[in-house]
Amino acid sequence: MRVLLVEDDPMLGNAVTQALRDASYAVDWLQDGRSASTALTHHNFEIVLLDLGLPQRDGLDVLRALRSSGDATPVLVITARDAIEQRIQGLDCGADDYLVKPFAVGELTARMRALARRRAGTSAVVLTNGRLALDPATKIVASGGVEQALSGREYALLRELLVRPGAVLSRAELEERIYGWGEEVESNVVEYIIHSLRRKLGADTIRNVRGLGWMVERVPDAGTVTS
Amino acid sequence: MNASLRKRLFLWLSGSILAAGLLAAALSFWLSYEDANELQDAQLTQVAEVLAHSSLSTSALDFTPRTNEDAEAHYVIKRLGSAPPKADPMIDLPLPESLTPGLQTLEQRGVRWRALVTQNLAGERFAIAQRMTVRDEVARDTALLTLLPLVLLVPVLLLIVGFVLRQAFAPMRAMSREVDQLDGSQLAALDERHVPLEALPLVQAVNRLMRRLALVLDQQRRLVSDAAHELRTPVAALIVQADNVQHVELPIEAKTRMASLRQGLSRMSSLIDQLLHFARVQGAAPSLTQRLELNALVRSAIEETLPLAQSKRVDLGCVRTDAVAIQGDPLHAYALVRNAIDNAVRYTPTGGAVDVSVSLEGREACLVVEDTGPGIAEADIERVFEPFVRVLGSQESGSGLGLAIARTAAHALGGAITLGKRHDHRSGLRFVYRQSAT
Repeated sequence: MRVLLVEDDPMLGNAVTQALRDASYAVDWLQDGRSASTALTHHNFEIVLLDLGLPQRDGLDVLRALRSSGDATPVLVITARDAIEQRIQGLDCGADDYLVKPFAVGELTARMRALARRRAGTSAVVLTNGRLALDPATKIVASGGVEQALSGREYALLRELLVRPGAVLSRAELEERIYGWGEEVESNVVEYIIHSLRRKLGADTIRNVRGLGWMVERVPDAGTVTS
Repeated sequence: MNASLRKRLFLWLSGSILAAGLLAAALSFWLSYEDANELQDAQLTQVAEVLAHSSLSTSALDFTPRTNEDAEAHYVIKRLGSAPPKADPMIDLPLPESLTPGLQTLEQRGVRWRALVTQNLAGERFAIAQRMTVRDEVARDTALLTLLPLVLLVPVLLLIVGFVLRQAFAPMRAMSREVDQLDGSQLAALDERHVPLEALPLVQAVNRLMRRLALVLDQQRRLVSDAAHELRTPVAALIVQADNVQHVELPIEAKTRMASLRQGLSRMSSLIDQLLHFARVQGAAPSLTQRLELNALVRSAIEETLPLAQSKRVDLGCVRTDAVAIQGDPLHAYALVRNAIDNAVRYTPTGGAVDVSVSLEGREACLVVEDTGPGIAEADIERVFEPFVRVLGSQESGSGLGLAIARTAAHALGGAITLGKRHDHRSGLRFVYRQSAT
């Protein structure tokens, strides 16, 4: 996969180039905005990694010019500025995703894979926290290479937890989401479903947070599990 | 010693009023006293003239009042010389022939008299006299009456002076209160509208100083923020490089050393984040106030702190989650809650617990975070709010900014943080934040 990296800092540029080559990407690295614009008009890249604070031509300018020429190449903006307004500004200018420095290589490559998938139109509908992968179409969960079928309620509960890994959901929230309108809520049903999910998938797949509810952990190096 | 202007004014003004009042009183007393005496002399003269021109028998001259009622006050009318003594000793007054005509003061047996010696048409010499004590009493009473308005006026004047001074200095007091309420992070100019003309130059000078200070503070904040932003790029490069090294086959020894290098890098990166948060919390204008559910903030903060808690096997959870809302800037409120919880987890040893509770106490929203760490000695409690201050003996590698951020945020929100011991006598810190609920 051919990637354009636009980063003016030699140290970071070198490190990222090395990291991406290690991950078998073909990387072209440029250090200023003007040459980035030129390269983008003459070559095709599958992903652009764009720093915003660039000499000669600002990163946002490069991005705006790219989008106004009708080019839809996925752009992942990399910046030291994380103030919310600046993020929104970047997204408004046509960035597909945003990565704030400093970042781990795993996070960068995971986001690049997600962008590539989205572009290919095979955007993963599989829900994953990096360790579990749940396919809504088949209600089959994969964990450590083992696939298991889930019951309707087990699927509904796990789905809620996997929508946002790392988020804590309370009993009331889980009950509300796995029961339809007017259905009578059985007592301890949430505990019961979680118990059976833990039996199938391992005791620490669903964690209890005292006084608040349950969650599935977000495994930092997400992307090792792909659809 | 700083002299109070108001006190000095009051002392001088009331002293002058009292002195003037006393002087006026003395003068008025003396004048009316003299007046009353002159009047009584004139009366004596008139009575004498009436007697001298009347054709009354001389026996009238030896008139003796019939009643003894207030004999002291009576005029004594008597022929000079051989007249027999009066029956009533109160009005008995021996008068020798040798007295010269006219008004005079006599002294007889220790009693002073005012007497007028004259003669009637028949050429008989006689005297008309009155006791001085009676005359003096009348004069004194008259003079004292003239003092009454002054006596009433002076206290009223003193009260008015006190009141006027108080009113005049009210803007100054209001302003000192205003200045007292400013904390170091928000330097607002003082309100110049109600300042008296005399104090205006001072207030304007203070405001100019505040503007300069605000500028310096702002530059300092921006420097911290810019420096942290600038640091992000090289730190990102280091982290990526450290990640790259992992892809190379390394001896076991090198791998463990890489792990501690990566740990150091992640600590550096979180310090940079905290610096940015600190600069942002200090600089943010508290204008974006909105209603915030405290529970939602606590939940997000716990979600974000859970990875750290789990890596240390610290049991992080809630013991009470009442629905309570506060009013404030979400940036400040989240920074406060996040740092309170993060700090507690950081200073709790492996296997410990951190309990968070949200409750409504009276009209105050109350966030309590209790840990089972070493706690903070009473003497250190003020110090730990300062940036980069770590308590001696603490093993934890926090940023040293958590509580500084929390307190800055608390100031901006209008609430207060208190640190103390746990109520159940276990070792640990009890962090309490209170703010009026909405």
